[in-house]
Amino acid sequence: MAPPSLLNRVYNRLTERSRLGSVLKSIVGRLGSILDFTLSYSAYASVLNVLSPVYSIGALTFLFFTINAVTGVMLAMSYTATSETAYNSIQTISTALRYGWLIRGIHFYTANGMIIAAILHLINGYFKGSYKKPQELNWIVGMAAGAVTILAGFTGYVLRWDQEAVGAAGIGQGLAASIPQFGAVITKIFWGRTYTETLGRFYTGHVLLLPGLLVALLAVHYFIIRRHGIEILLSEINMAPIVLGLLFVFVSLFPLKIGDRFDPMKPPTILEPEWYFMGMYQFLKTQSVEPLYGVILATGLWLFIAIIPFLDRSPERRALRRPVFTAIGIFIIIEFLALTIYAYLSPGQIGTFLDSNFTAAFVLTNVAAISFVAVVLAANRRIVRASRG
Amino acid sequence: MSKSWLALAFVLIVLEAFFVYEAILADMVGLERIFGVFVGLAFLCFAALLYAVSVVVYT
Repeated sequence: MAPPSLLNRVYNRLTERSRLGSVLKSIVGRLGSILDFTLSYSAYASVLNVLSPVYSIGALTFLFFTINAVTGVMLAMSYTATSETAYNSIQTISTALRYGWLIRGIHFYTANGMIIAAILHLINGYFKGSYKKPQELNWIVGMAAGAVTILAGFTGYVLRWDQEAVGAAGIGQGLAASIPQFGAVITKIFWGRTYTETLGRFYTGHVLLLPGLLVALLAVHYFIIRRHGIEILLSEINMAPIVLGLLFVFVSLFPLKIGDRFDPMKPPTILEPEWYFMGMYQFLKTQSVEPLYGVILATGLWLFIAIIPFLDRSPERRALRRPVFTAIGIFIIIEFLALTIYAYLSPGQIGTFLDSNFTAAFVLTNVAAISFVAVVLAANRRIVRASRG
Repeated sequence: MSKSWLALAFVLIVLEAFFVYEAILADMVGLERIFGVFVGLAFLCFAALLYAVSVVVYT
């Protein structure tokens, strides 16, 4: 019999004096069973077609959130939240720290990816009737999580503290201040009196309050889904390497740029918010629209979608068999898309019916929206006739 | 192998050559960008392998 190798002898010495061997075996065994379960689930799910992007969009949202949390912790180690130093710390992260640009880029793109995935998740749920009994509470929790996600995106945008970020904070402040009775109190609490106070509050919200709230809401969201017997958590494990791979490649090919340093003496002539606020921004820069109307529109729309399980109470889930709510959904999407596109096409211009482009865009959008609604109603009529016949 | 796959491979190689050339001419961040792209491709290969293993072994 050959004498034991050096590696064997070291291993034996270690395992003789401790429980390391059994712990190692246990870890390897557990990892093996997790991998086995994941792979078998992956094959099982691909047969059932539950790994399609539409089915996994909620899990994708959570995956983006997880990546955001990890990269956010890394960025927070080097970010300083005062109005004098914030911009410099972003510059240091992007140019002097090893792979700082990569972490910042991944954080930025996953934040946007999370908002896109959340919006698609909402649209998918709306048209599939996922809010219907017994998922009413889960729908409201999901809507709350969506609102927190948007707020996290907004607060994160301001943390860059460049010209556009400070401008966006100012627009937000103007909207909040327009709320009757409470406007002054809200701006005092969330914006403070100085730039450093604003940045401090936004930083606290972005790294502590909003992520904490989001974790709690997502935990409830998952808990209710699991209680209803829906298994989706593992689809995320299969998506993770694909999403990470695409992120690394994308951020490396298109690294983030740094905006212009904020200069209070030279405010930017044209302010543009992030893409998800562009529709609202276009609405606000239409002639004779007051900031308060924007607050009312955003809150009203959110409330309408949040309470939709109590408005659409029929058990029917198929979109074309509940034409009113399908038509409303299509109408909202078309108007939102049109406002967003028009905002990009007319930077800094006030929307007025004296402008022929604005009038043409307004008419075309509404004709398109009404045409889609008519198509839905006609399709529903046909289905109803066919089922009677 | 069909011609369309060869055309796609050619386009990708040209793009990659441009990217590597530009990145090397840049600075330290340029070299880090090359690393970033290859880490990303490694993740994608891992994903493809994971999927292939799941299909071959479990179905």
